[in-house]
Amino acid sequence: MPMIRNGLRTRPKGTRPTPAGTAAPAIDADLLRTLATLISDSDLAEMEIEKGDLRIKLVRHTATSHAPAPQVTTPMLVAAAMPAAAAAAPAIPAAEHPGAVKSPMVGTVYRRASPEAKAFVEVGSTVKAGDKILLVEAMKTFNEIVAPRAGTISAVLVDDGQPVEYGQPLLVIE
Amino acid sequence: MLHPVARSLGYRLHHHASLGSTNEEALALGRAGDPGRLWVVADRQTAGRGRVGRAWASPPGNHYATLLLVEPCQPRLAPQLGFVAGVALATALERLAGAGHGIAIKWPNDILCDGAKLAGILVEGGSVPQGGGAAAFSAVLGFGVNCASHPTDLSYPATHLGLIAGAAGTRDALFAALSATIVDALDLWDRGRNFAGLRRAWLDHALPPGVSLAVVRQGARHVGTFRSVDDDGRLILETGSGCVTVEAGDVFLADRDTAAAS
Repeated sequence: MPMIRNGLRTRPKGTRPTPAGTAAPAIDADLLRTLATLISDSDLAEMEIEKGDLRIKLVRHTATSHAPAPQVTTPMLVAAAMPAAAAAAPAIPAAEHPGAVKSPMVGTVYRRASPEAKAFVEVGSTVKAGDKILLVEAMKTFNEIVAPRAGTISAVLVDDGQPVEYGQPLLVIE
Repeated sequence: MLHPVARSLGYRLHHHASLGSTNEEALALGRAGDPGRLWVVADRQTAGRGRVGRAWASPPGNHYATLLLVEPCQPRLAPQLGFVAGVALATALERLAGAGHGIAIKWPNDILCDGAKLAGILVEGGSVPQGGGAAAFSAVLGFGVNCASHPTDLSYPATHLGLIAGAAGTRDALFAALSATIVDALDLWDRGRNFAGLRRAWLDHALPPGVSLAVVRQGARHVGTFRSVDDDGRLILETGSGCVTVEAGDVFLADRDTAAAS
């Protein structure tokens, strides 16, 4: 499932997203607004709510200053409700780079060993194969991400403390 | 001493009088090509650590041991190892403490006794580049257990095994028990093929549903009622506005002092 930054996706539990052109499920706009306010007022990175057979998952890009904007998987509703969120989701060209290092798991990415430490790497850092470049935490399991090859960091695609999806590009080594 | 069952399965033990961190040593040995099933034990640590680089007080008499596993599962399943470790440690502690012990796992893998922190687990995954962009996945399971003493300067209550299990609650007795229970927990989990079964075992050892928990994440605090963990092991917390699933953060008992450590 793709990550939706600053996003909110809703769909009935156990179903696939509604294909374009079919009837969209009824979405309570007040509910969405309430949830968006709730997560923006909190420091939660992710929130999942079930009500009847409706399941709503909010995932926040915690390190940015944008307020989380609802986005719904149903194309009609995306267009009608949240053009801003749709505009925020273009693919990052660097992510397609063959030197992109991808997340081995769903979790939270850290660029440093502790809040006071300096980042493992910055854009321009030279690394050799096996150097620690990031950490991904999932349920208190901390996973070192090491450079698969020697090179120079040409792009860092994540912020400290950001939630990441499985396979999401994290940075680029050239 | 390793339990005979562990020894018969090829588990090994490196014992040190003093190390910076047993997890660091085990990760380094993994990078250097150790085949795994290796326990690294230290009498004391000079740089013991917990979540996000926090210090873990490590005076002599307590238990500092890390198990190195090489390719225990696919890397994306690594977070499940924390639950394997939690089940193994809770089982070992319960055996030493006997009936009516009050020992329970607090999500994801701290061990409490009657609400006071008895043990912490730090699981870390590492990878060893194999050339051509490929990498072998290794994981270390670090177990810090207060056996002979506990710190008194924390923002939450703590305890130690000697107070709970008496003379049976020594570091050596705990390590022997744990070196066997981790074998059982890894077998049950079956390299991730039976996380469902491991999850049930975890719930059997966890704080009961209905306990109030506070989740602290990046300085903000959220209180809710513990319900369960989902199929991926995430905490399910019921709040005034619905059920919330939590994947990271510091979790405290809400009726205790919950000063944020982060």
